[in-house]
Amino acid sequence: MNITKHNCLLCGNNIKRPVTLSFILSFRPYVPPIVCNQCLNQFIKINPKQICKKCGRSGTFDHYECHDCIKWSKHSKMSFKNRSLYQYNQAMSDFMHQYKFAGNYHLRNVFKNEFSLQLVQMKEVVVVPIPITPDTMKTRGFNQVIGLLSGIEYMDALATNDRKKETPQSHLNRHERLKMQQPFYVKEQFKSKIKNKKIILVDDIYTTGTTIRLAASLIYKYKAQSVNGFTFAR
Amino acid sequence: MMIKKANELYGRQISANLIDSKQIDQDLILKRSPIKVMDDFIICKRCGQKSPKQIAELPLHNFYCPKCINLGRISTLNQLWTIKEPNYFNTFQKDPMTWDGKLTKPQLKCSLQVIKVFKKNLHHLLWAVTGAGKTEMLFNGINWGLKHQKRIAIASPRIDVCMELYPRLQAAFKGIDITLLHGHQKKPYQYCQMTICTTHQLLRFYHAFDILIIDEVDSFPFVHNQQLHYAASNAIKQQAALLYLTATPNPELLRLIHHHQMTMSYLPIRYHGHLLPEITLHIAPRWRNKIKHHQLPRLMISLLKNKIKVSQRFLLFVPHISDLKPVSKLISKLIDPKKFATVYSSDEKRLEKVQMMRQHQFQFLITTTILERGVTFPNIDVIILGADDEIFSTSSLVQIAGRVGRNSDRPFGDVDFICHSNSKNVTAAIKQIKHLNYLGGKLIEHH
Repeated sequence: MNITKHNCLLCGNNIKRPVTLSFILSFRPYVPPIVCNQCLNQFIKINPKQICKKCGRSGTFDHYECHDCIKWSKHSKMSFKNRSLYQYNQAMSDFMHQYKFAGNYHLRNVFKNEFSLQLVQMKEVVVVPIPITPDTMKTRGFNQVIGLLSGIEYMDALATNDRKKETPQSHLNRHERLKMQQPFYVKEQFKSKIKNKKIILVDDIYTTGTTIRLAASLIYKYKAQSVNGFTFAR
Repeated sequence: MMIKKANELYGRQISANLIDSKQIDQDLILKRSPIKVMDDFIICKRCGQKSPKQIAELPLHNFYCPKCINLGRISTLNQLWTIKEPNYFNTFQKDPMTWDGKLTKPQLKCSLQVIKVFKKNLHHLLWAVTGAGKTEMLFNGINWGLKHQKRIAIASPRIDVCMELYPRLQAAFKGIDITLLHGHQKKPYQYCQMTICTTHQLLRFYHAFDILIIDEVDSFPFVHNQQLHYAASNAIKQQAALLYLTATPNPELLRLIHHHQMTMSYLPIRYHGHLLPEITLHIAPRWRNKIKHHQLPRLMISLLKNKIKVSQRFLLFVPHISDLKPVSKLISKLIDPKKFATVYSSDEKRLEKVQMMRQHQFQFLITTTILERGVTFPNIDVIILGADDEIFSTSSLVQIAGRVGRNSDRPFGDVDFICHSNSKNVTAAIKQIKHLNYLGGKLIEHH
């Protein structure tokens, strides 16, 4: 028996979820599904046991860290680790396009709870989301990172410098990205609040790591105890 | 792509963030708020659909419409801009129509009716049987509209119908610019007197057209889709002609006619003057069980063998994609597998196989409803296995039967339905074809 008449948010097909006797007897609350299993199976979670211990990239590596992280450690001695929830594959790229660039804010509900649950499990940390420019806010109408936080207290400590974004970041190549200048500053009222805190920087996608590392180096200037990153996709 | 010219906004509704506002005289522009915010829900002014607030909400009390987001998001962050359609078109010294083909008498009668519909701004349904030559009957009307500075659109729910219409109209009206719009179109929009588009594209127009023709109104996704019906009514001017074309009107359309909200004309006879091939019904109880036990129904085997013996080409329809494999496996035991192929919607070689069927490299195709309309093979028969399955609506069944006998060389042919039991849709399809043939028969007697 199917009691649901819900359509999948991603593919639009009807979601068939049979109601079984064991479900009824479990007395769990009925949560209507929003995405079908076929779509959900296309997203691949990163296995926390098989990653680069520094940047959270999935895979097995000969050393403790991956090739890119060895390069990074030559540049700076900053202590920074990142973890990510999902692999950035074609399905995730399509999802991000719909959510972020097409601006379908409702799609945050697909991953919001799962992403936030991971953050809740980190103890004694202060969550700081990566901000977007005022121009982006005007056209997009939302910060895609904050959209993924549900019921999480966060400190909106960062803001973007008042430089015009000439080309969107997603159009830059790796080399151009690595040359990027500090795009952020810490808002006046939060400067004193960072001291001795364990900060978790949260972003949607980790590509080269430049953005999140620039933000981390800025926060270390205000005497944070530690700064690490957590991103939705890697 | 930013809009830079004022004429690209004539009769359109575009979100202001896509318009280069410095290049366009602001006094011309009609600016509307794109979303009406109510207590618990919002109403989108582009697609006319309601959405609950919790789904449509953006931070800071802004809202967007999730229902038409595929055509680019509209939200309370940006206004919807329009310039009133001014009908700035060329005047013609002589007829813009370059088509010099001939219409049959019944076709001519319908085409005069089409002109009357356009002149008087009526809402009208033209019910012409499959293979009646609908497109040709429009040419005189379009000719009249072009001469009288009317802005014209021909829309269809199906992209392949649009793609087929475009070259035909371009050939019939040489020298007239036509815009072709659909989801995969790479060319930027251009302001033209004539537009051919999918019904989804109508969502971008606002009080633009004096004449709107919608082909295959009874097909997916237009049928039962409130959003697209709203788009059509919003794309035409308050005083405009709306012409629906179909071979198989659904009950909703017929109800409108019954309530005198629309007028209708019939063309119950094909362009070659012959009647529609009628359906032969065969009952094969529990055929699905038989196939599970690796057996074809006996009457189906004899049907297939007869067709192979006389080298008759045909299409075999099955209800579901999952039926293709077992059925084709069983048939390949009887018939050389090189003689046929299976075709379904997401088949990568779909176009290739259809082309090979056209070139007589296959004797038959086993397929699903995707080949029910738009595709024409000369001199074929059809068989439907499981015509009583709910996937075949009455209009699908009539359309499939209408694949047969379209060519004047062989204006007849066999239509065989194989069912587990008789169903409502099958009975209605048989009745509809009989009724049309009755009307067609009277027409033949007249002349």
